[in-house]
Amino acid sequence: MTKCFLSYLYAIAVLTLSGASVVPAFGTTIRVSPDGPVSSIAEAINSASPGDTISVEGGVYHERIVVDKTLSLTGVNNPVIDGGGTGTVIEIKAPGSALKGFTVRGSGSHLSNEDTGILLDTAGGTLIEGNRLTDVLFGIYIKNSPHTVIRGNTIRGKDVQMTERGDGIRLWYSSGTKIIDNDISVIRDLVIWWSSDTLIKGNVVEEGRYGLHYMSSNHNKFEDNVFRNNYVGGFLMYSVDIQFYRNRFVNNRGVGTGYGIGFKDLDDVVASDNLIIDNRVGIFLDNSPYLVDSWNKISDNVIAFNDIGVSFMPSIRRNAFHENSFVDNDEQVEVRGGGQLAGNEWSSGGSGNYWSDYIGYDENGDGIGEIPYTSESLFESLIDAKPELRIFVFSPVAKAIELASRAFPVIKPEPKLTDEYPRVRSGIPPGLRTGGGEPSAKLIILSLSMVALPLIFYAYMRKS
Amino acid sequence: MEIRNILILAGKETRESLKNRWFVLYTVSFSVLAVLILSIAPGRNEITGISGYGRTAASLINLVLLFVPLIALITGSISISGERENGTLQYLLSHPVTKAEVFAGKFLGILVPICFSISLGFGLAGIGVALRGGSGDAAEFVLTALLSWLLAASLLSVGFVVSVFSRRASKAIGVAVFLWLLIIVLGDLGIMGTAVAMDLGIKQVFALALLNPAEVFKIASVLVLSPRFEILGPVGVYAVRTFGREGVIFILLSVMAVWTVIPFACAFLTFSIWRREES
Repeated sequence: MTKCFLSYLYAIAVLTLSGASVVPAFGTTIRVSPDGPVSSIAEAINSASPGDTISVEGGVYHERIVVDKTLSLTGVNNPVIDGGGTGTVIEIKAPGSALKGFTVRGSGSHLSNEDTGILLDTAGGTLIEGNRLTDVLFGIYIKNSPHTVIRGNTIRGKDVQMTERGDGIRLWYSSGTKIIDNDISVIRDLVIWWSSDTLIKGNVVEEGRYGLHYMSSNHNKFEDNVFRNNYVGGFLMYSVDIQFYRNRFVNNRGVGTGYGIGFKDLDDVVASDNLIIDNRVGIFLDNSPYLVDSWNKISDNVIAFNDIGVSFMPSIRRNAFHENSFVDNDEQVEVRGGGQLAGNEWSSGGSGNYWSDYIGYDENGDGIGEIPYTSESLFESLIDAKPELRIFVFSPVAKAIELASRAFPVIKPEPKLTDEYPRVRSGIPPGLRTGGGEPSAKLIILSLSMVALPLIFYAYMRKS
Repeated sequence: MEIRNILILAGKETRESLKNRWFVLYTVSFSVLAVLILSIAPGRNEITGISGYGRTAASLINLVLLFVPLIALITGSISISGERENGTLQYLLSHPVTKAEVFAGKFLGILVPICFSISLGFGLAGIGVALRGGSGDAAEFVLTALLSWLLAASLLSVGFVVSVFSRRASKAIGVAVFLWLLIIVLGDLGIMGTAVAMDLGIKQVFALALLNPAEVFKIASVLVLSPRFEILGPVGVYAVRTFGREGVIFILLSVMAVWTVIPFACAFLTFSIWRREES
């Protein structure tokens, strides 16, 4: 907590300082061009005074840059800064700076050196906008730089093994930062360390390890992002008061993880209107909430087509699931190690969740089923208790066991959970379930020949 | 052993199969159900880009698992026993053909129409999927059909074993249906029960699952159909991590080959010895 508090003080201090230098654009403009007279960006920075603007013309600049005074660097016609494959390409060490419209490439690849495309160190209130980063180990590293804005950048990391990659964006003690509309791929994580009151909005994070990763960062919000094809869509840890809305967590399937979104020691979560689709596990809950007086509120989300909808570690309590749509998850809710859930809430004010496997009816037409939804599958109970048996999934034996447990209630398991007021209509947005595509010519031709061959054969056999 | 004789005998067997009511009934119901299952499947999903086929593949695998073993076991089990009961087997063997030719001809003559029936069902379903805009990776679709052929071959071999030991077709069908139940439900149930009762580990469960040709077919299909082998749980992850995806598929194909060759050899040996004693 002390650390948190200190970082707050720091953030406020830097903001006050940077506020003074960021507002007035009183300086002169220095022009850099490959044709001269100033042909090196470092040279321009050397001769500039704080508050100046450096305008860089198109071309390739083979240099590594340290911005040690408050400057605004603007790329015109997409200049390329090439670090040549060693160290950090651009390092900004002055608050209130700006970097716009560059292509940054070729950082080093030493994880221990944290080689980075754009590094901000004690540079609060800086704006990083509209840059393209390729072949960088870390993309944008924001260290001790509160109230920075990272907007509209494209970051593509080095296509090496996951263990050798750096983070696409890393925040380190940089509260109040906004990360907006960036496109990030082939990296390790987008990770937020020790930073509060940040906003992460409209980003796309693909082909990484953790699409979004909060570590000990309280009072944060993220919305309208897409986390796709990562090991884990979002892994939120050791934080309090995280809100997230309208994000899409799609097809995150790391082996051993594969969570759309995972909570670890996470308190006071509010999650609404998210789409959590086609992950190995839609939502993974581990020791969350952690504090005894905390509740996590998960409502109006669509959790669909995952292998497991929601996976609970044993004895997880105080999660409120209201008005979510659980659609066609192979297993809607898993309780690791088997057994029943207790102390979680599946409905409030007479309204629960939609369950695609609900067998019941709505007699009075109020949208709420008259029979409670219970999750009680003998096969699921078996695989919760003994995960090795999951190998028999999709086999007729799984269906046979269900049938047997219905026919002989003696072997029926205790329900994992009961939703007293199941909704009968899903909140699944139109277009999610179906949408026409072009007929696949290859499939049609192959299928036609698969039909034609036997028919010709049958006809031939009949004749002869 | 002459190829020509085998082909003539296989042709005769095929024509009889096509007249067989069981066979026609199974072919028609398999095709109808395959088309129904895949036509209620969702089309291409706008958000995930996943085709309808991927998600309904599981239902199709289930359908194959129920139908193909049943038809292979039953037609196999009546192949020899039926002719023996009618007395036509004696007549057939009085021709200038060897027992090996008769046996091979019968096997081929039954396997080929079964494989064509599977192809018919998959093809009709595939047309349905394609017309509704599901992309359904065409290669994977064909591969699943080919795996179903292997499943048919292995269980047809088992059916032949039943057949050579049975004097009457009705008895053979009874045994075949019991074997079907054993392979499809009871066997797996036994493995699951054993795994829970004796707290078996990952390796043991994997080894036990390999015993069952139907289970082997299912695991192979899941591996072929989707990149998500983790859907098979810790055992699937263990297998793929240890042997590699190709390695696991190779093991599974080998198991199915063993299930085809060994029962076939047993049935043939028994067939040749038995006949000698009778005459």
